[in-house]
Amino acid sequence: MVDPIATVAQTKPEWKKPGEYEVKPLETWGKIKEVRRKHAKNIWTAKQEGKVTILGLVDMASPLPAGLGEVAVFTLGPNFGRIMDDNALAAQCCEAAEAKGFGPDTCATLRAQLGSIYLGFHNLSRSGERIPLDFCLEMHVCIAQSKIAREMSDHYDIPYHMVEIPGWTDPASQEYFASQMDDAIHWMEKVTGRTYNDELLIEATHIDWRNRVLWARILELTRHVPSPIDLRMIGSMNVMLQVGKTRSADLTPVLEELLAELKDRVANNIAALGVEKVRLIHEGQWPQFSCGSWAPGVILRVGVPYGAVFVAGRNAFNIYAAWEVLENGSWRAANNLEEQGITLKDRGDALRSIARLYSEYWPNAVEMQLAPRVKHLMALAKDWHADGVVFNLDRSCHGVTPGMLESRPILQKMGIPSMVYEASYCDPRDFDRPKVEEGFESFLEGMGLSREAA
Amino acid sequence: MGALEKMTRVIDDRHGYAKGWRERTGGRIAGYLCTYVPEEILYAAGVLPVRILGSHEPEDVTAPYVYGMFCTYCRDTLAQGLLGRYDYLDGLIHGYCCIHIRQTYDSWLRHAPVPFSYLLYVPDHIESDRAIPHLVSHMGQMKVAVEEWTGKPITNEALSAAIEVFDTNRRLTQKLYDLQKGNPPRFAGVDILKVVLASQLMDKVEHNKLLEELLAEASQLPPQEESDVRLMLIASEVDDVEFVELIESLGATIVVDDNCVGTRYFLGEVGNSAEPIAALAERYARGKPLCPIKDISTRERSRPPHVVGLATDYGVQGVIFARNKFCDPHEYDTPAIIKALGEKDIPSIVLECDIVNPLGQFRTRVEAFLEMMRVEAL
Ligand code: SF4
Ligand code: SF4
Repeated sequence: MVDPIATVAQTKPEWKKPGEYEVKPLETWGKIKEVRRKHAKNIWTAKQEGKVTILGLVDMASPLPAGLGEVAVFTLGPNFGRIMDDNALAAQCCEAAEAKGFGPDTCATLRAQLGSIYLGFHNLSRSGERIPLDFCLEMHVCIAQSKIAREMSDHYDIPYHMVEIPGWTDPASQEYFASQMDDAIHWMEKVTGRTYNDELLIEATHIDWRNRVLWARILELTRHVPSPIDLRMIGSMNVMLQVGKTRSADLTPVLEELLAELKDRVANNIAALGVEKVRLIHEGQWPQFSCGSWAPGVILRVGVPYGAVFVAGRNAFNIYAAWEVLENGSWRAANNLEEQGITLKDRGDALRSIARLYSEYWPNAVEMQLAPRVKHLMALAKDWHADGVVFNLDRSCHGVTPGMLESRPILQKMGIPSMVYEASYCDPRDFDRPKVEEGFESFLEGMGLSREAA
Repeated sequence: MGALEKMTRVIDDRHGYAKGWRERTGGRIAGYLCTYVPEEILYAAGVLPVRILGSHEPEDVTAPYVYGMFCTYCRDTLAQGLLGRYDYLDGLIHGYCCIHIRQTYDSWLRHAPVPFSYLLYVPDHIESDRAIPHLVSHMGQMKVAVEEWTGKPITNEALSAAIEVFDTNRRLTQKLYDLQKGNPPRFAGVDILKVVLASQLMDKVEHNKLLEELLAEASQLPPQEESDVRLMLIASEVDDVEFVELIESLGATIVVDDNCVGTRYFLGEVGNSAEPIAALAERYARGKPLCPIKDISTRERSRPPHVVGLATDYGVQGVIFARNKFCDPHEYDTPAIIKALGEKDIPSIVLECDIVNPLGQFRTRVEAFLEMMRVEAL
C-alpha cells in the first residue's frame, strides 16, 4: 500500500516570492454539488419512495440503518441550511426554543433545530408537505444532542432509541458499542415491522470504510504547502458527506475523482488561494450563519486578503474521516477493509467493524476524555505546518469547547500563536462580527502580515 | 457538642479533618469529583475518599484554563485545586460524567499534579443491559489500578465490609430524611445538607457514629414549627450552606432534595453479594437516582417521575430549582420536570446559582414565590 503522505511535502519550504501560487477552479466541484443536491432532495421524496425516515442528530455509525433498506436520515434537518441562510429566522428559531425553557447557554445548533419544530417547519417542504418521521435513532456522543433528540421525539411522538459511542477504544468498549448496535437493530425491526437485511449492512460497512478512508486521504493532502484546498472548501464538501452519508455508494467515485484531482494539484503546486503566506488551523465550529451553510465560514474568509489560509481543523477533519491515531497523537489516513484484507461475513463482523471504525479510527471518540484533544491538536499543528491556530470558544457548545484553552500555552511553547473569538455556531445574536473581524485582523498583523502583502 | 455541630466543624475545617485522619490512620486520601465514583473500592483499600467541593469565594485563577461559560461548580472546584487547598491529596479520581467537570479533572492534573489519578468510565447508556457488564469491567480495572497504587490487594471481604459501612451510612441518612416527612419536619433543610456534606468528607465509620448520635438526639430537637411551607430543592451541585439558610430564613423548610450532594448521592444501597464489584456496578447504574447526564436512554424520562415521587412522599408544596450557572445538563431537564410538577399542581421557580450567589436578589424572588404559595393556600 502506497503511503499517500509520501507524495506530500513534509517540510515547509521557504516562501518563494511572497507565497504566490497558481490557482485554478476545482474540476470535481460540479459532481460534488450534484451528489449533494441529489441527497438533499432525497429527504423530500423519501416517503413517496417508501423509505424509512429517521430522526437522528449525529452522523456516526452511518451503515447501521442501511439494513432496513432505503432510509433517509434527518441529522440537522432538511431546513437547517435555510435557517442558517436567514439570520432573522435563525434568531427566531433560537427564541422559540428559549420560550420553552432552553436558555441561551444551551446549544444553539440544537435550539435552531428545536425552534424550527416549535415554529412548525422543521419537517415541512417548501411546497407544504410534511415528511412524517418513523423513529429517532440517536448515536450518543454529546449530552445536549441526546437530550434534544428526545425532546424532538416527544414532539413527533415517535419511538426513540440510543446507542452510546464510548469514549474508550479498548476491545471491551468496542464490544459494548457493537452489542448496543445489535440491540438497535432488533429495536428498529420491532418499530418498523421490517426485516433487517444483514447483506445490506455488510455492504454499507465496506462502503463506509472506503469513503471515510478516501476522505481522510483527501484531507491529508492539505498538509502540502501550498494547500490544494482550504477549510472553506472542506466545509462545503462536509455538507455533501453529511447529506449523502458516508455509507452511500455514489459518493465513492466522486471522492476518488477528487482525490486524484487533488494529488495532481499537489504535484503541480496548485493552491486553494493565490497567496499562502500563513497556514492556519480553525478549532471548533465556525459560525454557520450569515453566508449560509452551503458556503460556510464568514470567519474563514477574513484572512484571505492577508494571505492567511485555513488548512485544517480538528473538528472539521474528525467528522467524516477514518484516521489512524499514532502514539504521538498524529493522524494518518487509515486503510480500508479491502486494504486490511478483511471481508465481513455476518452481522457480528459488520457491527464490530463499525465499532472499530467509529472508536479506534474516529479520534473524536477518545477525545471525549479531553486530554487527547490537546495532544491531537499539537500533532495536527506540527504535521500540517500550521503558523497559527484560531479557536472559536463557542458560547453554547459544551461539547467542542473543552480543551481549547488548555491547548494555547502548549502551542505558545511550540512557537505557534493562537487567538480566540467567541460566537455561537448557530445563533447570529451571539456574533459580533466587526469585533471578531477586528480581533482576527490584529492577530494576523501581529504575525507580520498586512492586507497589501496579499 | 452535638452531632450536628461536630459535622459542621468537619465541613468548616474539611482539610484539617482529612489531614488529621491521615495522621491518625496512616492511610491515603483521594479526592473525587462526581457521585459516580465507587468510593467503596477506595475505602476497601484503606483510602479516604473526599468529595471535592467549592468554596463559594470569588476566584481569578481558572480563566486561563476553563472557559468562563463552563459551570460554576467546575470552576470553583478547579480553583480549589489550583490554589493548593487540596495539596495533601494522594489521588484524584473521577467518574465519567459531565464534560464540564471533566475539564476540571483534566486541568487539575495538568496544573496541580497529584501522585495518582484515575478516570473511571461510567457508560452514559447506563439504563441499557449492555452497560452493566461493561461497568463491571471498568470498575474491575479501577480496582486493579487502586491495588497497584496502594500496593495492597483489595479482597472481596474488604470490599464487602466497605460496602456494608457505606450502606449503613445510606440507611442512617435515609432515617433522617424520613423524619422530614412529618409535619412539621424535624430538621431544617440546611442541617440535612450539612449531614450529607459531612458524609462526603469524613470517614464513613466516624460519620455513621455521628449519624446514630444525631438520630438519638432527634426526638429532643424542636421541630421546625416556624416554617409554614415545605419545599424541595432540585439542584445541580449546590453545597452553598448560606444559600439554603437564606431560603429557610424566609419561613420555609427544604424537606427533601434532588441534589448531587443530597439524595442523588446517598439513595440506593449496594447490598450483600458474593460478587461485590457486580453489586457496585448495579447500584451505581440502577440503584441511585440518575443524574441528568445518565437520563437519556429512553423517551420515558426517569427523572421527572422520580422527582415527583419524592415531592409526593415528602408532602412538598413548592420546588426551588437551584441550577448552577451554565449547567446545561440540568437545564435540558428543567422544562420536563417543571411540566411534571405542574401536572401535580406543584409550583416552582428557577434560580441560577453562581460561585458567589446573589443572595439579595434570591431573597426577593423566593419571598415572592413563598408569598404566592401562601396566598394560594388560603
Ligand atoms: S457538540 Fe456542541 S454543537 Fe454539537 S450538539 Fe453538542 S453542544 Fe451542540
Ligand atoms: S452536571 Fe451541571 S453542575 Fe454538575 S458538573 Fe455538569 S454542568 Fe456542572
